Amino acid sequence: MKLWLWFGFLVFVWALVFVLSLGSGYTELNFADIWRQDSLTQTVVGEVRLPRALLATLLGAGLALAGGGIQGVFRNPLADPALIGISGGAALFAAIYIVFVSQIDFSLLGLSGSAFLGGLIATLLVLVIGGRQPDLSTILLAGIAINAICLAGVGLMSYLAPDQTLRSVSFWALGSFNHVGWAEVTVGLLVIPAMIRLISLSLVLDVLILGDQEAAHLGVSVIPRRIEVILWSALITGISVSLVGIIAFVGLIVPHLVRMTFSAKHVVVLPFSAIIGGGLLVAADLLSRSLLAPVELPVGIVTTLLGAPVFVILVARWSKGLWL
Amino acid sequence: MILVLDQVGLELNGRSILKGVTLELALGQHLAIMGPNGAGKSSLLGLITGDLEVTSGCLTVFGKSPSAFQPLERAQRISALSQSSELRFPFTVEEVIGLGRYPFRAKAASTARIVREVMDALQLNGFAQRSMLSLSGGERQRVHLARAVAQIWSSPVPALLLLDEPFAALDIAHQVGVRRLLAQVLAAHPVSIVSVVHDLGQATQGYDQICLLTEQGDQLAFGAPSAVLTPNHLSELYGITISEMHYADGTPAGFGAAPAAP
Repeated sequence: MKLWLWFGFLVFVWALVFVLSLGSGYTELNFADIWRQDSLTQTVVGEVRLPRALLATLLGAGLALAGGGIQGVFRNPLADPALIGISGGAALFAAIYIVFVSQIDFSLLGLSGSAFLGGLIATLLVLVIGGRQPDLSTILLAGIAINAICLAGVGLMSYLAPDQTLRSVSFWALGSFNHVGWAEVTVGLLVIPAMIRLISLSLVLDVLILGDQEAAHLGVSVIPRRIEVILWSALITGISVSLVGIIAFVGLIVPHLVRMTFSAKHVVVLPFSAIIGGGLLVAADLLSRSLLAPVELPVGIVTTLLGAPVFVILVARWSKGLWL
Repeated sequence: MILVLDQVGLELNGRSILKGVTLELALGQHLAIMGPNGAGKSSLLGLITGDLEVTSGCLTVFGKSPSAFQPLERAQRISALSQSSELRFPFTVEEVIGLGRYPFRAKAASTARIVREVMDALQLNGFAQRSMLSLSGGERQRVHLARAVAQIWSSPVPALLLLDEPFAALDIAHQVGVRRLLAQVLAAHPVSIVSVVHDLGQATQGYDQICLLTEQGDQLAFGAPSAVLTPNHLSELYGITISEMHYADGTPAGFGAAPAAP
């Protein structure tokens, strides 16, 4: 009951940031202006800021929720789609798609599908290399290795890329909402079914956290369920990377915050991560546009600046044997 | 019979782990599996849960091979406590015990009541809202035991509880508490228990059957404690001289190693 109130409050905060984001930028609009039907407002809000804020909401929610799912399934509170190689693999396959396929037949959906596949392959490699050890730091190390290889590959592809905008390595490595329009939002809607399915697996994730053997003794088919969670998380991450590049730390920090503040049960962690992640990414995008205006920072710089210090604190506590 | 093993053998990677294990367990009985380190005691539990497959002989639980159960059906009748379960997330004690009811999630209404009853029985009430991360090793072990017990609590059909070293990290007061809980479980629910135990001192108390395994995984003896737990058997089993100790009034007080020869 109290949790519902909190959730309602978080939805309100998200809505506030969302409206603020529609009004802020090169053309300042106040709350009343946003709803005007003149051509300037329709262009600035309707064609630029609204799709941007909507996509930031969808992807922020998706990334935070996927982070919570990945942490559960790897039984590691320090896992994150960007740290364990999903994002790197997705970026590499997206770049490969742009260089080798897009001249023949480019579609945003094809780009996202390719990124999804790359994320999946990278995750499976990380699992094969680092998943045998019960000590989960090996998974993080394997993720770092895979990530390094993938980002080097992205760098290589960027030299071969024909298109000027997609040539910049920083787009893939740091993420940006600069070019976002309604086409991107349409593809971004695909994260919604993945999020719903992950939330429906909440109780299974709780049980998986006890350990593979324990979960099996409680009647969970461990391997199919684990692969399913990885699949949906890779789908969310792949879509996100293909549309706006790698946005790190949202998936790491937000679920942590929820566990520390509310509950570790996934039925709480996943929806709360989604609403907080959505609001956070809209806010990060707003900051990236306004900090050095009129210059626009890559949004990944903002999320990394916010998230990396928290990660440093978590690792320091981890090394002292504390998990939170 | 709840559990029947007939000449059960297990080989892993070409190495023989268990040989010729033959035993039976009736409803309401508590069986202890004893033997030196590496005797294959935990592997025997693994065969019963279906984590491992017998390589020779025949093993049936509730009249079926463990692999013949659907995962959920098996979880509704067989509960197992493994030796260690590491948890890195701040679940509360109550939530972890509640996960023991996962196989019965279709009847979620009874979960809260059962969790409360199990916490009462193990004196964990004061811990209900504590985070698992703030508990000591022994406290965590009791919570996981409570979770395993919750899984078979109020079972409408005969169920089996498998415990791997349930007393390992517990002080003597909590060992007594856990013994009392297990006796209560056997008395109030249609359950049989199989425990892997190490501590010879307490081995005679509270068990209906004992199975002794040698270091090579052979069955040395199986039967009632008075017949199986003899100084001869135990000396043979551990390769040192072991004698029975007595209280001043002559009642048995467990077993101990004789002082080493000078």
